[in-house]
Amino acid sequence: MRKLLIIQAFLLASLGQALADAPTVTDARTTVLGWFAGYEFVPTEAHFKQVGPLLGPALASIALDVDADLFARARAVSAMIHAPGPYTEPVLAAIAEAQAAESVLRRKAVEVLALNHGDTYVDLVASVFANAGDDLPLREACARALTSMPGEAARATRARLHSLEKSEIVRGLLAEPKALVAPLKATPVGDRFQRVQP
Amino acid sequence: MKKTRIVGFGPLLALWVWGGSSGCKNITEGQAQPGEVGAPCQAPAECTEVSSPTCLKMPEGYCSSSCSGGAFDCDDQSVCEQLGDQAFFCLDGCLTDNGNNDCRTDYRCTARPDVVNLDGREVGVCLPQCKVDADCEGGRRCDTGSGDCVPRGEKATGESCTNNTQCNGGLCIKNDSFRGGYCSAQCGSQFTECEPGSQCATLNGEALCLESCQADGDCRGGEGYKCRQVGSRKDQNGDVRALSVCVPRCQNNSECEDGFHCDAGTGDCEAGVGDPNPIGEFCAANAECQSGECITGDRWPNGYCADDCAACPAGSVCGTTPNGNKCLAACEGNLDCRGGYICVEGGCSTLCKNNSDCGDLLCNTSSGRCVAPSENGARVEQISIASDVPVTGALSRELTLEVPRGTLGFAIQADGNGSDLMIIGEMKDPSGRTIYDFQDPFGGELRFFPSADSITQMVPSNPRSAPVAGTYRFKLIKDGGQKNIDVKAVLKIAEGEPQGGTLDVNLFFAKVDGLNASSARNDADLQAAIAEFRSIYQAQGIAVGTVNYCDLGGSNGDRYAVIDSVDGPTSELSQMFAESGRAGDLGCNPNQAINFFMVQEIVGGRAGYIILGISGGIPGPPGLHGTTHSGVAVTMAGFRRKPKQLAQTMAHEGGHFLGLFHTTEAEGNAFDPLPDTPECRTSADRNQDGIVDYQECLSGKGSENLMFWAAGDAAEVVSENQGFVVLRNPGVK
Repeated sequence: MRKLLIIQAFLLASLGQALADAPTVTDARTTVLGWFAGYEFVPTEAHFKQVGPLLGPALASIALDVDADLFARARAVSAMIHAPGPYTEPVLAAIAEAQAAESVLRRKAVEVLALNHGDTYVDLVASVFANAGDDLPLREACARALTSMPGEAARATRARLHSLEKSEIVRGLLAEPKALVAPLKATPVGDRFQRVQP
Repeated sequence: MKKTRIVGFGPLLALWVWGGSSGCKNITEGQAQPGEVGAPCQAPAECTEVSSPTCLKMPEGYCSSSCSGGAFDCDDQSVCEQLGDQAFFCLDGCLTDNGNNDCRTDYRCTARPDVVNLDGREVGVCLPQCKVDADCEGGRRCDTGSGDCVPRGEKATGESCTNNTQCNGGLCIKNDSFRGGYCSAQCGSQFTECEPGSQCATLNGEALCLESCQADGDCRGGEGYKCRQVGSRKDQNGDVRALSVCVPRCQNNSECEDGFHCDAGTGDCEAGVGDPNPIGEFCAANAECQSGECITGDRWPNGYCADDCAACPAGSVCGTTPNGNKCLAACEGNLDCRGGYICVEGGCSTLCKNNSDCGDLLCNTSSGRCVAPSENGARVEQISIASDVPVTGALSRELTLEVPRGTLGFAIQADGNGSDLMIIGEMKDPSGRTIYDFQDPFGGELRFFPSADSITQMVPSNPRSAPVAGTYRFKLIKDGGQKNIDVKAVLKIAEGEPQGGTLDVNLFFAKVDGLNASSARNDADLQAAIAEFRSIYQAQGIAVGTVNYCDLGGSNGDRYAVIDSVDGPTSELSQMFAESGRAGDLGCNPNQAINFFMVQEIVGGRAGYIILGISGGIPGPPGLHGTTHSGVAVTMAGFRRKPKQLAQTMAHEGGHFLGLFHTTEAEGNAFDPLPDTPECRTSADRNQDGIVDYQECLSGKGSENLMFWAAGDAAEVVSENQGFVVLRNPGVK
């Protein structure tokens, strides 16, 4: 938690400077917060791309803002997959490690760390897994993260954790990487139907 | 001296100037160099070759500067273009015969209609490659392989058509006025232009591409079309030029708005009455009616030509009105009547406004009808329509449903099609009128929503589509393969109008932190959410009845704590909904109740992107448990911080389940079929991000409505028409 607070202070300080220099960081934050209010709406990569280089700082500021809506914070962490780089990487690592942070934030953080940075954070994710206790969704998220890491270290870690894990659901995730890396399949709509966001 | 067209025009318009004039510019081959218009940037300071630079929020940034839409704005190699509804920016010019080579990686050269450079080569501007169809102008579709926008069909704007797929612009206008169909496209929003030879014009409030013309002979005169001037502009020399498009000639007064008549000579709707009007038409004085009687007053908007019932002429029927028995224009449905009037007992009559208009009856202010109060409550009947109906990618054989008098609403359910999307492709009401056509999904009275595995399609979608007694005819269609489908209907029938309704609720708990069926009954935060949920629904006239609590239990509780997949019948979401078939065993209500599944979180996008809730359909199967659509799922993570948000999500998703659509979709270009819910259009998109968000749509533009696409503290308003729809859902007792 201490590390998270330090990161938070550092980023808020640098963001404060950025805000003073370029008010468009505020614009970017306001823009993505507007998207994050949807009940079912999922912004696309094209949406995030149009924000440009200010996306990372904007997402970091939302994810670290304890006064922001929890769903918005969780969505900001997930959206960091669209903004890999120096602003988001330390934030993701800090949130993932912070045991006092909301579980839902940590779940997203470990998944994005793996997707954005590959095997770099095998040990961190393994540590989060080991300390997750009864938090089954967090262990699931860690298992998914490890499965999306391609290297030998991740494979060995999965095998080690598989032998210790009691939940059949998590064991299944650790054991069947092919089923895990398959992206969610969008339902084909076809040209005949104009689909309305449910 | 030869005329030469040059570049530098606002959308839709090409200007002519004399060649060799000072200030001419000429787009040439080649990509933008660093710092120039079109070059990548992270901040305006990097656009060193641009005066008063700005860095547009396009992929990797885009050096530009604002301009005013003039022909000579911007530098020699860029073009002033309108982005969105308001702002003009300089965009990097390109030559279309050079493909996308003049543009940066991930950008495409988008042609500007009728614009060429000094060598006569067609000019375009560099814009981001498309990802989805909505990125394309003129109704074209996105070829995701090349990132180019390509035509949808073979026919140009203005040509005849029978369905959308035939048209370049993806839209075939079909109604009584547009005889033979008319290829078109939606236009007017960001990056949206019309194809060459057409112009964007407003038609009945909608911006549509219409065929350009200079004289009637340019239009399909044989089918009743003419060339009409819709505006004008000044060219570079200050000369006024007409902007004209091909439009249908009017053929009778009913095609004109109140206060206008159809002039057979011009084919236009002209102000005034013209010849005296027949029964049912507008009037201001008796002399304006063939019958010599014009009824006026608040109840009769724009007047109504009527007559005493002694001998009603052909095309009229005798009906009871607040002014006594009168000859009224004959009708078979509301669409046969003028705006502000409804079809009652075969005659176009005035709408009631309050109970005093209805004598012993009650006024339903949503429908405008005088109705008997319900005495015995509503009853629900299930009817088997057909079994083993072969359904393929073509319309199925015709199926029929006999709708008895007193039917408030009905839902058609078709089961067993597997993972392909299915929908009712066509539906006709008892008068034979087509009230839904899947090729024109937003053009009819009804709104249906396709889904996989099984579908539920409800009538009505709005007050205008309220069921009438008689035979409804419909056909099914699916998105691939062939399946034999069982079809049934659930009808809600009452002696009179519903005065309200009751909705029993099942809450199924997955493994959620600190909450289960036992603790939920006394959990202060959850009970606060349920109280708020009750309050929201009460505004629709629905009393939330018994709330039942049950646990999914055992491995299912763990399995469904986090819903990782939501699409298709094998997804976790669908499999969880199917668990509702065990409602009785688990301790919930196995009969008529709406099922809410309370889960830790629902993942709807990449990297675990959370969605707040999701409904099994619009609507879901009313009162039917055990299907892959039988419920609503709600994300519970963090609900203790904001129980009100949980309540709003339950009410919003429950609204979908009961038949309500989003009043406005996120892009501001699709809306629900209800006339009394506000629409927040793209013009409200102040920050030009392509999304109309909660803040942008406050102050009466719609985000206060419960069914707006985004959540917000004030988003709990429910309109009368929304109440009308949900009270007619057979799932509401």
